[in-house]
Amino acid sequence: MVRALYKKLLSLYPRVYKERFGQSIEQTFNDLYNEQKRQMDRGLISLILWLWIFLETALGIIKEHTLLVTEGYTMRTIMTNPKLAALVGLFFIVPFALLNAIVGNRIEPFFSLIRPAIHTGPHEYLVLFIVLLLIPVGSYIALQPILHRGAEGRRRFYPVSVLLAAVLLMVFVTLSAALGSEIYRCDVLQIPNCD
Amino acid sequence: MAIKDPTLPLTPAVFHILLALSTGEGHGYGIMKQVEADSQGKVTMGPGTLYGSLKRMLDAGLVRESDKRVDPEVDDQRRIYYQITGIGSEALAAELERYQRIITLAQERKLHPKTFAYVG
Repeated sequence: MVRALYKKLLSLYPRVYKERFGQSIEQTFNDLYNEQKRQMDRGLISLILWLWIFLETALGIIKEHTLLVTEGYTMRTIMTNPKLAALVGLFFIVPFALLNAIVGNRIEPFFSLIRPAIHTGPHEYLVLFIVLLLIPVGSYIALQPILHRGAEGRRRFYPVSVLLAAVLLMVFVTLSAALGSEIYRCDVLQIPNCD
Repeated sequence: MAIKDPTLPLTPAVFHILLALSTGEGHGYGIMKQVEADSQGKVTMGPGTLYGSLKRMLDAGLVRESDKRVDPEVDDQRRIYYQITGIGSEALAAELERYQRIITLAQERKLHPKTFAYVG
């Protein structure tokens, strides 16, 4: 039962790691298991040892997953997986949506942080500019599976990537034009009640 | 990934694995037992730490996989053996030299190894 449980635990390792070391780790665990079986009189010590091995392996699993993210594996996956790239690209519109919701509904304390004075100030413009620019970044990320050459050196076409990249660019252009026009009328020309 | 500088300090796990492999190639369980013996039971390494370290050592070129064969002392299963590389030996030598320098420094400062008390 202990061996079956450990095998289940090993299945939680990242796939590439599991393929490379899974069998060896299992063999080493079985060697430890057989060693413990030869020393049956160690009751409590044996239990502590198994708990320690399970915990140590679980920590190793967390470490390997963390390293995958920090070593850029996630970015490589995004570059080759069109659905994941589309999802990540779409995520880049969230900051604008959030900012819009905060300002539109005057959600505190965030609203006061974005607009400390009564009127729109340079601080708010900067935040707006940054979150707006994130939208074309999302579009670029959505296009990554098309821009990135595969292992065979060829580019592949994914309609979902093009569609989402186009939609995000259109959203960016429309929002920039609408907000730019409003800022020009209200803050440059200072037309009263221009909102 | 090739190691940038083999003279950089090693983690305790990497140091003990290199020390264990300096006596000859070994498989996972064999390395664990050798580490335990080398440290008089003070260092115990589980499979998670061992293979995590081996992966990074393989990537850094400190160790290499040798052939897959049976260890008759354990069972009849074929196992991957690991052996230290030239870079690995260099890294181990640099680490031992660092330890040596620390011991020399401690002796110069008349620090007692067991009690860490100033004997002067």
